[in-house]
Amino acid sequence: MAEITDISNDFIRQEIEEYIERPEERERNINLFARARPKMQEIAAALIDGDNDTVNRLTREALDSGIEALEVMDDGLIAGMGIVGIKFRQNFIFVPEVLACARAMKAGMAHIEPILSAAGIEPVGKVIMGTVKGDLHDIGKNLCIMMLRGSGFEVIDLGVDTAPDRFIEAVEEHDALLLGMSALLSTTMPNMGKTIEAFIDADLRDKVKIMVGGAPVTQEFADDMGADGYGKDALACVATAKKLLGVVAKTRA
Amino acid sequence: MAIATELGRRVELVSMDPHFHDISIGIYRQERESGPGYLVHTYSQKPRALERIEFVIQAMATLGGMQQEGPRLRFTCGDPHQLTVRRIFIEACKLKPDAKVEPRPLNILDKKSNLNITVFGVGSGVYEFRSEAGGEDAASRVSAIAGGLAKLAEMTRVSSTHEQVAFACKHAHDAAVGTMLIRALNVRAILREEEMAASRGVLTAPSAQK
Amino acid sequence: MGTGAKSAGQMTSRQRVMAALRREPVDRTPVCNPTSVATVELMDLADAPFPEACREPESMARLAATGYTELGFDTIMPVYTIIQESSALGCKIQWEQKDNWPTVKMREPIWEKPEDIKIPSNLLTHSDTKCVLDAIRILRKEFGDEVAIIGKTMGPWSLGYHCFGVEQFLLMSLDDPGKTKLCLEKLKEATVQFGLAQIEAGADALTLPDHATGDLVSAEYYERYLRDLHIEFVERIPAPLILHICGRTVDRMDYIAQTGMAAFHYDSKNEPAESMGVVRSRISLVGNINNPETLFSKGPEQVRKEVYKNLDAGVQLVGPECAIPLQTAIENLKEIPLAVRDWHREHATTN
Repeated sequence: MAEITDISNDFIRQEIEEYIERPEERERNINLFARARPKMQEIAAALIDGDNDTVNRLTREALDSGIEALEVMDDGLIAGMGIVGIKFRQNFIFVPEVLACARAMKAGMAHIEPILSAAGIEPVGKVIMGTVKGDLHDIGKNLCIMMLRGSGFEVIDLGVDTAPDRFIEAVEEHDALLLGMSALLSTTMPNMGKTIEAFIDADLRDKVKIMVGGAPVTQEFADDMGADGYGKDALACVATAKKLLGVVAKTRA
Repeated sequence: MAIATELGRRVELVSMDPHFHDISIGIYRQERESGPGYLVHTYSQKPRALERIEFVIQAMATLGGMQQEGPRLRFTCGDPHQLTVRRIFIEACKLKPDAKVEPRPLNILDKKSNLNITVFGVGSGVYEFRSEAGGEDAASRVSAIAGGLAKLAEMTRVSSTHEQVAFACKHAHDAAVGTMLIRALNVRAILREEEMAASRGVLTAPSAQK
Repeated sequence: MGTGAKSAGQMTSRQRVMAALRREPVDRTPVCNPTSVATVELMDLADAPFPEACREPESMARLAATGYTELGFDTIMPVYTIIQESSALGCKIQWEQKDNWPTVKMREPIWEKPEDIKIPSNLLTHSDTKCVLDAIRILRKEFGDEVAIIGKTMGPWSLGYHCFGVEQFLLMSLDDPGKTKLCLEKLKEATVQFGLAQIEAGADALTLPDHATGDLVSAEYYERYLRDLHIEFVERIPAPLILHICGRTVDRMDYIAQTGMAAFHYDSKNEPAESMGVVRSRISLVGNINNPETLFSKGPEQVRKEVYKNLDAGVQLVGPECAIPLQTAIENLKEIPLAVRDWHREHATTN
């Protein structure tokens, strides 16, 4: 088991000490960053700081120096977003800061995605994502999509205010096995149930796994609506997606 | 003077009836001396709105095996069966005004397992689920579907069985069971409970633990 | 209830509401909706469905009146949506259907920088803002001084979301506070113009939604960007203002109480007693009955509990926490004034 002093980057050490309170999360992050190269820790630090220019530059440099794209993504970008997610959950930062970090991640992913595509790496799964009918919020959904793509999923984003028929059309058109629905308003949450009902009526319910999420959504609500899975935040969304599709986590050689 | 009257406790609402000018139709539970009854109601004053309400009431009587008493419906057993009524109401409102309404069959093809599932009333409000296939997988799926119906219709599992569920009122409700059968195939909470029950007492590797 | 309380039934609904907004004695706590209490069933009853009721003055007025005539509230608030002025500013609107809220297409923002902001000369004659003014006139004429009519004018932060897009506006607030403040300075003129016009049309008070909610931004953001603007609104708009911010806000209620606004319409994520403890009689509180879990999903008993909790804490005006879900059951809404009446009866006999 690694110690926090095994992490070479001062900023990352401070972030973990100051903001990560749960023992299991501290342990996981210490282990993760202790084994990550200093260059990856720098990328993560810049992402946590919302510095998209630095993330952009460092990602490019790391790839040019021969570091594998998957390593940069996992140990730099996704690792950094993990700490961002924890700070957001605990109200140390708010949505503007999260958006800045997401922007930084996007800057890094712009270099990584073409490499992964060119390498012909099969997506781990295909996911349709959308915010339900009547709801125009998409910040959370967009974060989930970014994390899903970063984790190797192919994501078709239907955007906001998505009617049940549109979800059905997209699942059929793209032959997707997984559907993710987001609702940020408690008044639009019932539309998740309506969408699931529409899948039953269209005799398609068994063809697709359905996961739900969003600030007002709970596990209990997800169960009552007949969803297959629930994710309380973007990181949980990825874990839920993998679980529903029976995906084994990729490991780098 | 207020028009909105005391209708009872609203159980379900169809906010826009696609078959009749997007009117809103509610179903309200009313407590009476003879037992709970349900009133189907709309505040719309559009011409022929009441005919649409009458259609929904009659459709519910058929789909749920309910007794119609003027504008109200009840189960002859006297029990409220509220969740069941809610589901029957939703199904009735999906029907077009010219639809022929018939009770739904007590069998269904489960696409998840490719099994034909048949439900038999065995008396005293007990229903038994059977599939033509044997084996552990089939039994597990039959049990899940039976559990799904139990959750939807507020039934209980008959102890020591996996394929029998029963109404507390001990009366048969074939029409209602037929109407709800398709929903019973996908009740996630039941599947989750069964997964958890199956994993109790099973040693798991640290990496597989939550 | 404070000393000097009047006997039940002595005041009109309007008198009751205006007194509570000034934290003066009342005969009973008013039931107030600074935000919409429209439901699909009331739309059927009044033959005034969305979206027509958001765009056509007679329809708007007819539906709004049911809050008083059918539900027994002490207020009528005809501005159901938050998009009327955004429509007049040029935002694209999705008008939806009867059981769905009209919304601004924030994914198609109309502005990118402060220089783009222009308050059009027809702000008050655009069909969607004029509809509000005409509806207020209709209601004032119909109900006279009987009931309090509440208008609504959107604050500059919320207008920023609509016109710039939520993500873009929030990123701007982090990247360039100076630019953000300039945007708010320019947008505030729409708030003032529309607010003044509604008072002239006959509104007694105005709801002012400005969504610097704790679910999105920190309390420090409120102090940095909005508190002084809200103080300015109090100075420039000669009518009681009811600030509305959804979500967790107890951490910024002290700043809000400094603005001089008449009332703060607060959300169920904040406890009544704790909130009253923070504002300390500097501002009235309105709220905070939960929408999704209580009004929408539960029954009158739970509604009553939340009414009582607010009254026990001394909250000055009771009502739903925000615009109610359109499918809310009428019996739950009618329970609010019934519960208020019963609470006062119980407390009158124990005094």
